[in-house]
Amino acid sequence: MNTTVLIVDDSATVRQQVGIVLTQSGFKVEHACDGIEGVLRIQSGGIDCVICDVNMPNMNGLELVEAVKSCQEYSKLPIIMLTTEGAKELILRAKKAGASGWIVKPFKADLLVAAVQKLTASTVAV
Amino acid sequence: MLANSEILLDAFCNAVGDLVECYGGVKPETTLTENSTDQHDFTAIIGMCDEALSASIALTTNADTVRGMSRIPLANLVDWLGELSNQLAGRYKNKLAIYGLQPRLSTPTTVTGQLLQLGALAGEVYVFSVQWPGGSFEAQLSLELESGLDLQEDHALASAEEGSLSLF
Repeated sequence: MNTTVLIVDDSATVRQQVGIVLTQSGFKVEHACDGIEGVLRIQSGGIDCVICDVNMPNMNGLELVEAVKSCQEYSKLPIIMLTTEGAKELILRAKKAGASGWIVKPFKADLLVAAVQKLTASTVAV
Repeated sequence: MLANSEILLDAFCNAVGDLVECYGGVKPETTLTENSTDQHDFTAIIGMCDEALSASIALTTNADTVRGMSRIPLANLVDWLGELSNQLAGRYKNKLAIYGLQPRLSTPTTVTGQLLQLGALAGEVYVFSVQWPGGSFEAQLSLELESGLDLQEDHALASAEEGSLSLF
């Protein structure tokens, strides 16, 4: 069964770019346009990994991590932040909240794929 | 020693250059101009502020330039222009980090129309003409800085590099 990656970003073009890279590497992808939609999709089950922007309307990416990780059921779900932000303070906040990684845009396709492969190698869809 | 405005404008020019080099393949020619004369069709605007700095960035260009800055066929031109403005603001913010500035970014807004000009309630508006063989855009920066602020470099505050990956 394919590993399913949820891409959460308010830019449709970024979702498309990330989706192409992951699909070409054999992953199944789903999309959400903000944190609220992302949390709802995660709660419906079947997501193995999340790629998430930070600055988004309605609910930002750090709030998504905090919301997801506060639920025991999703505590091991890998969440990689993909953002223009590179501030150490934000990276530390994401790490403390339970994020699994941080990529500063623009992303390198090989690094993104390697990160998802590594983080999903030992996980089962939650 | 550089004045605050020189530091902030140099950082902005470098951020613009990095963005074009990343998506346009070459460093552009960036020129500070007197006034906006741009007659392109699409503008993306993004804001950033903290206690010491308030800024807005407007990125104005045409459809061909936006298409030329994408590695994939675009389903939505203005969405990608908005993301480019977001990445420009992010790069700018990351370059300001060594001066202790950590502004929060807004989400971008896009506008369709010509001859749009930023205004600033206080402070200055700077207009840059940006050109390279594959396209051109105009980047406007409105800037308000807390008076008396002395910007000093502290590389211990540097942001993570663009394109970098950290796994926790």
